[in-house]
Amino acid sequence: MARRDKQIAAGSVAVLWLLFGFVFWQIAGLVMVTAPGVVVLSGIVGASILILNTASIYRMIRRCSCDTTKARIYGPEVQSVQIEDGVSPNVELP
Amino acid sequence: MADEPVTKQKISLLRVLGPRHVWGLGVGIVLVGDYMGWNYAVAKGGALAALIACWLGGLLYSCVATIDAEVTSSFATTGGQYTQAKHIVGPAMAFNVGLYLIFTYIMLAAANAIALAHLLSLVAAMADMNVGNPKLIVVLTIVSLAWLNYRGVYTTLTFNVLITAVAFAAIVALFAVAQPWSYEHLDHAGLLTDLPYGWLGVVASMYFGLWFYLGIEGSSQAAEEVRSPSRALPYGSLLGIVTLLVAANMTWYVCAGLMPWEYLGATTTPLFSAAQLVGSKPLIVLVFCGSVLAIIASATACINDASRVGFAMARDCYLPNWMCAVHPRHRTPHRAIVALVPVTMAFAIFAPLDKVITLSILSGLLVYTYMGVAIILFRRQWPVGTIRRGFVHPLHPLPAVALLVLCALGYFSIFLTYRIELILVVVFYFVATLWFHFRRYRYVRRKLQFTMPWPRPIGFEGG
Repeated sequence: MARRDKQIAAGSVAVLWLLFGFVFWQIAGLVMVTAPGVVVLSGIVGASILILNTASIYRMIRRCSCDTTKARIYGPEVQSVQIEDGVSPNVELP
Repeated sequence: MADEPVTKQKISLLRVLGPRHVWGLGVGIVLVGDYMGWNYAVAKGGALAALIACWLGGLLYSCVATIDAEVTSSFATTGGQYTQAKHIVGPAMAFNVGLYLIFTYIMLAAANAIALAHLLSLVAAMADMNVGNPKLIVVLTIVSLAWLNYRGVYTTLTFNVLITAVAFAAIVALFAVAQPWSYEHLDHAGLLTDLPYGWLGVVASMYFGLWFYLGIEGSSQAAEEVRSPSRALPYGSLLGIVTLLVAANMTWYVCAGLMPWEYLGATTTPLFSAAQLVGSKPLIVLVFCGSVLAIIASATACINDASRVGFAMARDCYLPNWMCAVHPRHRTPHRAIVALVPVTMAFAIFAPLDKVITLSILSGLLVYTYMGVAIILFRRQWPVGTIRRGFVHPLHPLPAVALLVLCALGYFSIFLTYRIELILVVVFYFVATLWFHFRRYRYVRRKLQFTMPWPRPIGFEGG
């Protein structure tokens, strides 16, 4: 569960970088001469979005990997899956 | 304690939701903004101004999502920002934030019902059919989605995840079929103009840039119904904002490359118009279905969120206490759901669409302004390490500062076009605060002001 979460989160950040990079690159190439202010401002704002979201998701992934918080994050999920499967839950919640 | 007889078992909301439901709740409420509404930013300042507005809005909501992920995963109770305000600031702020939230979601639900009736009437007219009175569609939409919410949160939000995923897939399909890597359909070089109304047009378009993301903070309303708040809330919220950023960029890129800005700024359904211009019939059908599903997803999520805030406020007696009942079988806040139906209908039937949406966005902006201040107070009152947090947002206090600056820009943007509405909304909330202070506060359960098992906040001097 933790590995899948990390893969999806990292994949979504990669898609975000690719898409922002693509849009910025395409638009900057077209309006760099006619509207340099637009390119500069959108570059700053776009970079801020990418940095903030990447930092947030990196921090979330790191928490998912940390042994001290893993049981608290995934314990209730594992417990409910065990209950759904008819097995008595054996996960100790902190 | 163990020897005491248990006479009455308290029925609570069910903890059955996972991260995908939180994602669906956050994205579902918003995705309709990609299908209609955002393009008025183009009318205000041209396509390039709309891109800047889209990215400024994206930064504002990235701050909202990351701050929300921390605070909501720490409190993990229903009511979201209302409950947080109750703990962090105090009763008057909590009442205001609760009211902002209820109005944001009620107005959005009303706007969605109006938009669905309009869309179905439009398509019926194209097919030489008559769908009857559009107001009947409005009423049926609100009643049927309220009924779905009444019947159970798991079914409602699983349905919401599915239809949101289809609506998102339709945007991705449009982006792929438009072939952004080639110039077969798209012509940005020929269509993109400079800023026709200068930098003031950029500021004016900011208001409509928010439509790409308005409501993502609603994902926090599921806090008391998720299995693992530490996992579901940060994961659902952060992936939700990334999904919205992806959808917003795809939408802008395809639409700006297909239509001249004068046309794009005036159409009511930009993505549907874009699909028509691409010319693929299956794509037109898919995008039409995406439009309808996005509207339904948004209305469903709005009813869910508004009822949770109403429920939480009633539980503390900020609203009449009978609203806080939980249905014994469906385990939903059924009275709060039912109580908000006539209010939503009244706005959908009697208020004009643009006024409804403006009030919704203004109420949303007031919530975000509160959030920027609240996260600074929250970190001061309970520094990292003093309480258990599900997530600690990075780069503090930069997101809070950026959020407050962008909110100020948002107010100025609204002031440029809707100054009367802005003044009326401020007056309305001021009068509501006075009413709360003088008439309602005496009923509030003061013992329930602080319900978290946390140490006393730093700087707290009350008894």
